[in-house]
Amino acid sequence: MNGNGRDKMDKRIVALGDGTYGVEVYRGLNAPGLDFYEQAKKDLGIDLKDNPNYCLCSDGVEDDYGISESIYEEIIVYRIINLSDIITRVDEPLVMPEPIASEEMEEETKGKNQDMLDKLWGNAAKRREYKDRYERFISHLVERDGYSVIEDYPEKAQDEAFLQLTEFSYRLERLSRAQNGDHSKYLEAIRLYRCTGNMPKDENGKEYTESALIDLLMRQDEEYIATNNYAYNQHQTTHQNLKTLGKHGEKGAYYPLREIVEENEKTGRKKFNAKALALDVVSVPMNAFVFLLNHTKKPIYSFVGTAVVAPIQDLIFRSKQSAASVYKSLATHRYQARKDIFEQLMDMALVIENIEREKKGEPPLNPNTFGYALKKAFVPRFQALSRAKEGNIIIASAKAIEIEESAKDHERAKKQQQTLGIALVARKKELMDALTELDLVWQTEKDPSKRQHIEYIQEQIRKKLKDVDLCIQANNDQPVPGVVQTDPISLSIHEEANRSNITRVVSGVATAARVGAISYLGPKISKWIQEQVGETTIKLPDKVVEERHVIPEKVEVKRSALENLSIGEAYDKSDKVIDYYAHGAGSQVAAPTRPYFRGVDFVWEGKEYSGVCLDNWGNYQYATMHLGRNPESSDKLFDVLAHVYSETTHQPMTGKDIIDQIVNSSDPETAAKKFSEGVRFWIDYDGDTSKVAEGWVEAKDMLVDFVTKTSEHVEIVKKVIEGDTVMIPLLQCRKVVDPRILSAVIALSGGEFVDLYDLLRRTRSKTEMQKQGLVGRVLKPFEKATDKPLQQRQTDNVYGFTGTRRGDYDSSYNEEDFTPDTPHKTR
Amino acid sequence: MEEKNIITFIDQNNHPVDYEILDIQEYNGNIYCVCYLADNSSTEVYIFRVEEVDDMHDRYVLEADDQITQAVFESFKKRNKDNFKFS
Repeated sequence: MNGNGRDKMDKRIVALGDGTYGVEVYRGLNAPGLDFYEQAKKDLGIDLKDNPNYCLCSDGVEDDYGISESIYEEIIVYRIINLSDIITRVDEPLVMPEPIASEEMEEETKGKNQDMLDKLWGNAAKRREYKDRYERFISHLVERDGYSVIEDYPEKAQDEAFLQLTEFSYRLERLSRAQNGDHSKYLEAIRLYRCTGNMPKDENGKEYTESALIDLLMRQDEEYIATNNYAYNQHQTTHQNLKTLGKHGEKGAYYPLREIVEENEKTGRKKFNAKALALDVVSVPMNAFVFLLNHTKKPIYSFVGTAVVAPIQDLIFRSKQSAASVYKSLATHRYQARKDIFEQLMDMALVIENIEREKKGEPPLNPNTFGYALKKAFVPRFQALSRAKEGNIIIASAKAIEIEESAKDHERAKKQQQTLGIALVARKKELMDALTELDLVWQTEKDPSKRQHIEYIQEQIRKKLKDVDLCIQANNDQPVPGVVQTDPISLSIHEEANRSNITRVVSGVATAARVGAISYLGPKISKWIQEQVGETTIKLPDKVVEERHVIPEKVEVKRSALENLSIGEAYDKSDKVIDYYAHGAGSQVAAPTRPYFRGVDFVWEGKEYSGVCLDNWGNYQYATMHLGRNPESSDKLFDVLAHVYSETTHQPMTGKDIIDQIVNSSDPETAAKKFSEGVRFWIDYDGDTSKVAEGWVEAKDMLVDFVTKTSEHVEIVKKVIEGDTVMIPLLQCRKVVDPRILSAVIALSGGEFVDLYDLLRRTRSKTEMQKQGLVGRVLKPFEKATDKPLQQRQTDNVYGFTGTRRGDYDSSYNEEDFTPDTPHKTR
Repeated sequence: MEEKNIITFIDQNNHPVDYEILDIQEYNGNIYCVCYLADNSSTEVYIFRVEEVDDMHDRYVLEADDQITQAVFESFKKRNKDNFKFS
């Protein structure tokens, strides 16, 4: 301490009355020519003037927070300790700082991309490495103190990272411990939830009880282990395959995880027998082999691919050719994956086509026809061959996005963990400081009852401190969520490919001359096909646009602006809007044409938004609102508006006020008149943000010109530029299960992988989507596209949406055009 | 074996017979199903011509015309050259 402050002092405690105490923190001199406050501020970094947290005393005598006028007076500064403040402070929830943002994931993403490509194209060296590492990893699965754990060994961390089993190890141990009665790991997790105020809640919004939460977490762990362990997945696949062997096959020695758990419960053995789980993979093919020897009277090859599935066949015959595994994706498996993609593309193409037809006033195409079903049953298979290269790129591109997202999630989780760690350490320090202070107070205090009270507070703090210590430990132990498996071909597709008839032999055709006349009665073939393919991933309604409230508005735009306008740009660039329509109480109300009149109506997340802005009017904008079928729904607009005032009274107006003025008209004509003549209100418009009302700005930002996806729905905002007009966006909802369909559409129509990343990222976070513009990263293609079929197709793309032209999904194919599924040359 | 490709016919004695449909083609205005015996008792395919019976049923008749049979089979082979081993 410099200046007139003392370098060091004993921490003196004084009772200040009112149940408060003071800890001496500073001494300084008050004398002519010396500014005590300035010096104290310099030394302590605190402004002591009128500071209620400090008490200033002269010569040890309290001076009412001020300084006496005496010359050469020593001032003692006490920091006030208030017991009730300490208690409050200790009980306050942990304040989490914002996690550090991190976008530097390029290297990691590159690594994962390469890993994915290695798996897609079957890198033999990686396959061997995987096998070696996995065998080493699983060989260290041991039982320790009654629970299963992967024991430590020198390469464990590297193996876990390579096999992506870090989280698996953690969950396995945690679950295994719990099944042996040791719930400590779950309690740690729960403590962390409590500490950060993030206790999970049930569907009724109530916090889970501890036991219920443990049950929940255990179930989640079981599921995770069952679905994230490749060995287990293979095991499950084998079990499914065994079913094809009939009753004998199903009797095979198979112990799925859940059955082990149930069996353990029945027998009282509380062991999670993960080792048996791993070993059982060996017993299954043996069982199949024995079955074949005992039961088959035919050459085994005739069973291969049907009764005998490829993986088992592989193990029996030691074939290296027919089954895929990690880092061993065969061409046939890529074919299967492409077929899957092209099936979905067909559905998407139909949606697009029907939107087009609807726009032209033509009836939509009905997917429930024999012709379409037939087409759907076979066209994707041909396309998977004829457009093999495109299909492979689509698959890889879609997976690349997942990888990038996953890597970022992973990084975010790590940062979150670090941030929590920092916050917990800070909390610990705070508590320890409080303890020290209280100790000083306790030593000063002579009143036994007060000392007892201090002791009580100290005890509470110590408990908190213990909690925080446990939280720090738990936080350090928590694994960050694992990254995605990087095989671009899903396990189900591998299974399908394995099961498919690629290994089947067709020796010829049975002729009537040889086998005799055969005639059967069977189901309608059309219905049979529909049954097979009818349950598609996309539900296609008969009428594509059923719930549109507004006839598409036509906005004139200048010819020079006829590029890919965003909705917002379309509005900004247009100088007039005509024909605003709205539905009110079943009647249609037409607003008059007027210059500078802009309107839009759209639905977002189930809410209907609309807004019409007129020209600037000082700091305000005129606006009116769309009238929904249900007047009550119209106030949705107000969710995004700041303030609405009456034009005449300048008083705040509610949505109901406005609706009353417009909707409660006796007839449409009156309503239209009111609408046009002066049912106006003010929108409190903040700033000069592109000269539209605040709500409108937000609404505009919520519009995406493209495709967005929630977990279950894809919402397509279609923008079509036609000649000199821009159609108002039309929102569609269609159910899609696989986000790859989106990338497929984009890749096929866009010619480049532009915005692929950004668009699919929108599927993850609506909030992000709302905040971010459309221009996203350019995802680099995986190969140098020297041939440019995609670009060629794009050509005069007039669709704001994807530019997909009808011809892109044409079912015709030319067998001569089949492209062999040649290995990718990107690596 | 994926059940979804299995179709059950009824023979003249009212016995069910399962076939696996491998392909469906249109040829000369008729629809043909290329089928495999579901029990794998043969590696030959059967080509049935589909005839309409009523709203609920179709008849599946083994095509007797060798020319048509061969044409459909050749087309099937082309379309499925990567799906089957043709011996």
